Amino acid sequence: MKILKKRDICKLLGAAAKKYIIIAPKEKHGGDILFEETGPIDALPENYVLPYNSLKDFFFPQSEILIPQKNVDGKFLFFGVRPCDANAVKFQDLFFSKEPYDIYYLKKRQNSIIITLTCNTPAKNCFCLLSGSGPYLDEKYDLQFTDLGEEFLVTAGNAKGREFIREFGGYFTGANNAQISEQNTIRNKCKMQMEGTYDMKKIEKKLTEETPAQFWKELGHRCINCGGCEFICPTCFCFNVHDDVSAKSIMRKRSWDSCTFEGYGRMAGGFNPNFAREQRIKRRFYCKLYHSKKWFNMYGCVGCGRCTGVCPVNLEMESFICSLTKGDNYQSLLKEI
Amino acid sequence: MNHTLTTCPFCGVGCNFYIKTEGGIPVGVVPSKNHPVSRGRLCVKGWTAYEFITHPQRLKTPLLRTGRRFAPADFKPASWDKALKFTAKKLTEILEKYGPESVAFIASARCTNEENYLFQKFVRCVLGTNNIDHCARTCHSPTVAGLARSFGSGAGTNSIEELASSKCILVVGSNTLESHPIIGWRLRTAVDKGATIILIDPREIETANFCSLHLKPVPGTDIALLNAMMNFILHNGLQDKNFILSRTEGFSEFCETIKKYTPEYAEKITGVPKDLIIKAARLYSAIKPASIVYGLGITEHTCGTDNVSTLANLAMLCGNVGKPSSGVNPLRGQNNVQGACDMGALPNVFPGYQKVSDENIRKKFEAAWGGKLSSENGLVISEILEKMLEGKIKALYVVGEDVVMSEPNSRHVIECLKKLELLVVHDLFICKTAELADVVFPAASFAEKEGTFTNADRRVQRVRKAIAPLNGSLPDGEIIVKLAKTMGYEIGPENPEEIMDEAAALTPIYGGISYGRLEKETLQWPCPNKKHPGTKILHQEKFSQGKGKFFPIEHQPPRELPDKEFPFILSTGRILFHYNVATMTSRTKILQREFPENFVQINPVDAKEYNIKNGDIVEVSSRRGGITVKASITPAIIKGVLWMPFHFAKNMTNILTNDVFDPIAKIGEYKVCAVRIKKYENIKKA
Repeated sequence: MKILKKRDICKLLGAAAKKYIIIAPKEKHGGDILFEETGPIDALPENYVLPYNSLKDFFFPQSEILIPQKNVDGKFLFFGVRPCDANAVKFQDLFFSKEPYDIYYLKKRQNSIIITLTCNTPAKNCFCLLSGSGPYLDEKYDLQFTDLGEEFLVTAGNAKGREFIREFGGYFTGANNAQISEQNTIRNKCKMQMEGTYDMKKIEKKLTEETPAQFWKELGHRCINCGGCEFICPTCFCFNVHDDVSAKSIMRKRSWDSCTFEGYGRMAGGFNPNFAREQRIKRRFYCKLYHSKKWFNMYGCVGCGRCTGVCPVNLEMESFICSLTKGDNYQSLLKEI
Repeated sequence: MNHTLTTCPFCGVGCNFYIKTEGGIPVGVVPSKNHPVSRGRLCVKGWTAYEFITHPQRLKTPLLRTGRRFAPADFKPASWDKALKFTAKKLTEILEKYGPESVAFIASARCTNEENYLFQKFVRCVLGTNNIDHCARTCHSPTVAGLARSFGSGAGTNSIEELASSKCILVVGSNTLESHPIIGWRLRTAVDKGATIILIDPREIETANFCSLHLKPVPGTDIALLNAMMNFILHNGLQDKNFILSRTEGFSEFCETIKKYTPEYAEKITGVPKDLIIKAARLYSAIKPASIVYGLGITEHTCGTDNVSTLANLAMLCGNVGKPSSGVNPLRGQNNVQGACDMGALPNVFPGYQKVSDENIRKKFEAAWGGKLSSENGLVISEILEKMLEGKIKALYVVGEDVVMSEPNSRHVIECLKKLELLVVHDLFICKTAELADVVFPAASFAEKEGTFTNADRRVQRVRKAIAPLNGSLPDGEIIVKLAKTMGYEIGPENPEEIMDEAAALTPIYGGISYGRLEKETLQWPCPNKKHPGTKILHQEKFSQGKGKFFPIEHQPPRELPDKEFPFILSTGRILFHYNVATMTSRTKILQREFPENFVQINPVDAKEYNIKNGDIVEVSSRRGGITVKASITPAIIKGVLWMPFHFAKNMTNILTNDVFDPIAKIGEYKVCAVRIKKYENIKKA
């Protein structure tokens, strides 16, 4: 374990910028924060919680030209990534590395390193503990930083991370026992603040039982098909492929799609086994909270809370889980109004 | 990856998002989480707004017609120089031969404030006429006229975010969750917090899923319905007596008219049970704060202006104006229809609704712009079309609008256009109107220019350039400046920031608007000076005109009612996945996949009578023409009424609609005409 003084962030990233394109949280207009190519930064934005976009934008962009295939230029360093977002990347890794391998996604992943920043306090919309995805990572990460106040405690989780520390070793010093102990205190404190009423095992059990049809019917009536929850979600991987044909060229592109759109599952003859909106919403929640666990041994929801702020009918994951556990009809917690 | 914050180019909510660009190409969108109106939300059109920008069909060069006039697509690419010179020459010839009243200009509610300011300056200074109008005519001209005469200001009274805190919302003639989804979010949130929604709409729209009360009147009977509500309120002493006494005039004359509109009387006209009318009246008058939200279901009638003033009457009767989370909220359709009106792209006013006929106002603009300005009110779109047919208007300049697809009675519109000696069009893609043009200029999209849009709650917001204009296109404002130069006139400045400075100096309601301020905040007009913070709520201490005015209004039936030959009412409107004439949304793959073609909604009882099954091809026809579409059988529409969206270029719904107009606002009666339906028998065998 190593220590990096906060005042040395800029120097470290400056040195890394010779090899990597730095992507970090940047403050935009009106307090919006987005992951963006920034160059070396001095510090993270004040009161930083989570950018509104996720790393999905970079590895699986909203639209992408597949043919003609482009070379992946450069290596990318992602800084200030919360554990929920890092877990979302892990989840998409599992999907895109299934056969047939998605070379577009995998090439970008190979050329990147992710520096996770654990959370000291949970934010208003967070429920990562629920899906076992935070507030820190135990395994399968490149580098993890914990904020101790004046410095970060740094751990490497794999060979890529260890190689990075070796390469830029001049900026790190060794961590002492007090600092390691401090990290554990911070982690436990954050975890305790999040220990709540939701229990994933209970949710899974609920989903295997017969949920009243009325519950789903009301969700079907509520949703208006804006696609926002899929588009903002860092784990969603559904996409549409089409060709742009002009007099001089053909380009094959893919773009984000949403499994809740009627056309997504519509067959060539017009038939759709999930024609009713409530069926599509039900399928989506099952995908996230039940089937993903079966396919990938990992929940499709990392508890980042972005869907709470994106839905124009107040239909989002945390409220869904709460309502399902209680056994009532859906009620929004109205956290982001 | 770069992110550029801009305002959505679709509807009048004015959501903000960042366009993501990679290597100078737009690749996606992420909402602005902290934006005061959209708060991190977008509808599916906003989420996919990047895609049409790089569609292969984007116009790349100016086009000049060769060969036969009015043969679609008989065009040859031309250089900017050649096309501008040709246009300048023809315009000058026509002006010299026939005079300034022989030309007309249709500006664009899709273009920025700065561009619309330049358009009306061009029309007034270079062409020498006030014949400028735009598609506000087609949607909220009754709002401009109706609220102006009732309250003194023809714009929405409150701010969008306040709706979420309203305890009672009367939603009338608005399919909010499909046409203005992010305003629909406020309705949904209000209900989640315990509010009551009273819905007046002949269809089971999305809002019906969470309203407390749903009244389904026959289209075109809103005055009778609303008057009956007011009759009940007055009869039972439920009105706000203080407010009426201190803040309004014209009350006694209005009361006389209301007397006969008992709920029983209204039930006969509207088909709505009197108990529901009474319930609605009780709820709206008792629960505070109470808002009215309305859309084109109220305005697109031959009595549209009267419909709007009736809503104003109701709001004043219950004292629901000038207070937070109340008021009368018109849901403006286009991204910048409010702004295009504000900037004077109208035949009777300069920027800021300052009358063309007022000598002092005219002198002010003459001093600022130089030269003499016409004092005669110009023509509105429907009058422009009529004058074209009569041969009095020889040249039409259309920016960013497909009049053939959007005006009622499309076939008639085509006949009018064919009489022109010159038709000039700006657009991103070839549309139905552009197919008939003599000159087409390739315009740049919203992502390729700087400027501002003004949304439904009078909020001026920045539009920012994410990429350079594609393929040799130019922003519409730059095209018009170049054209003016070619004709020997300077109508600059050319820089959008400077244009706004000039407009603000001449427009009291925009007086305090500047790009410097807009970097840090959005500003709602009236904003008369640089220190003013903008205005959230209108008519708080007093109305813009002093006192609010009650208007005595009688029920007026629609111009064309069903009869034996055409036994159905046809009503038209929008769906979530497409935007107006779908120039942009039909070129977005997912949106086009969801709804690829036109359809007609028909009630199951009617369908059975006509032996129509779901998905059957049917012919729907009116006195003006017929189209074939797929039938969608649904109980969501009442018996005797058919409903169609107007988005689809193939099988245009507006072939059927009736070109009759409100006498004050001159809006077309899109919501009611008489049609018949039958199964389409003559399908050619393969």
